[in-house]
Amino acid sequence: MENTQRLFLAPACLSAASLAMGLWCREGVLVFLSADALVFTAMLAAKNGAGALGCAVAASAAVLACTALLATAASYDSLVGSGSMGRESWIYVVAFVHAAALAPVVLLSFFAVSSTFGSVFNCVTVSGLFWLVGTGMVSVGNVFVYFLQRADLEAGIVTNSNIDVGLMVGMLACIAASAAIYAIFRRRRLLISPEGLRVKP
Amino acid sequence: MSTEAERRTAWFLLVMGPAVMGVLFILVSEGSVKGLDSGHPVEYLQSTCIAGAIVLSIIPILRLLDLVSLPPWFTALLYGVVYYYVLSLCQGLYLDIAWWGDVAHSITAAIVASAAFAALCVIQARSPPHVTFGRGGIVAMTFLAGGAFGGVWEILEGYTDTLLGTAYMSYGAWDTLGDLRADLIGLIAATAVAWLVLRKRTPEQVASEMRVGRNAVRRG
Repeated sequence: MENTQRLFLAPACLSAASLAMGLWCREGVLVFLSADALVFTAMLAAKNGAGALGCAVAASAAVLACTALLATAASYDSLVGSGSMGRESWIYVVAFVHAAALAPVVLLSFFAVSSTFGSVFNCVTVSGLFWLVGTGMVSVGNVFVYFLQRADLEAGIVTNSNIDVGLMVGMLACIAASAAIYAIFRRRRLLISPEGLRVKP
Repeated sequence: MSTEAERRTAWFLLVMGPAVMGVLFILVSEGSVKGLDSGHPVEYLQSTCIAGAIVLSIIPILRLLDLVSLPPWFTALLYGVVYYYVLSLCQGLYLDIAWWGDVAHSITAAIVASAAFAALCVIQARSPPHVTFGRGGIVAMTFLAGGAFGGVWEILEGYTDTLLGTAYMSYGAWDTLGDLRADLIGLIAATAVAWLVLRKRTPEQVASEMRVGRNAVRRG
């Protein structure tokens, strides 16, 4: 193992911890996002994509923090069960926590694809695809809800409102992030390349 | 297909697509479709026929305006999936046959992801030289971005019912999650096909069949 590959052990451990915690507390969407972060980190490590190490660390830390939050302070029992928040409000809390984990993982996916397949993305292609990839990740994440949160579905803790609000907030967050990325990449003439972020020659 | 033949076909589709939906609309209004007995409200089926007619008009209008030219097999797939959806609904198959909705979602997701794949090939072909996806990148992005459309559809279903105060389109969390699961199966299938296609052809060759833009269509 080369030195640059060793550096990826830190984000890999963070996302693996998030995955384990997500499985323990049965949080379908974050299990999928944690698995994504782990796979993308492994893809970057395999190609020595050290230029994207910062993004890998940020994405892995974000998914771990969000999973920990939903497992503890923002869980259904902590907020709704204790009476400190209504169910409707809690649905939005969960959706925003998912969205907070989503955006960095989506950005990481571009670095991983670029590093593995030699792709180069500019401001137009990153921002145009960003919200689609983000919405796609939440959609597939909900398939994990189907398998991991059956008890929550049967108990009425997860309802159609949770799914619709989660999808909508995730999509809107990614559209906002797309706009921000477009502005930043265009102003600084940035590209996502196999070497990481670089300025357009 | 020559440009003139393409235009004739577009005129034919522009008339026939909405006409078939019009016939279905009349049958629904007369109460002659099985979907009403299965439990679909009449206004829901009528709205679906109108929406189907609008959707089926878009492709020929874009062709007649010289903006988009799609290969015949792809147009046939898009038309097929719209007819499949509307006819199944009018016949009540979504409510009467448990697995029908899942199959419909898988097929639709596969076709929509194929459209995303084609769009990625077009973007690749038209991007400046320093911007590239590569074959693997296109396949990966087909999978990553193609999943969005199932999610957007579920958002539309959920919020349509929320805004209208009805329960026409969504039947609870299990149904929504089942739809997303079926979408994932279609997405995986389409991604596999995209991978197979790009083993034999370049993205530019795929893009050459999807002519987009006034100049490109006229040249073709």
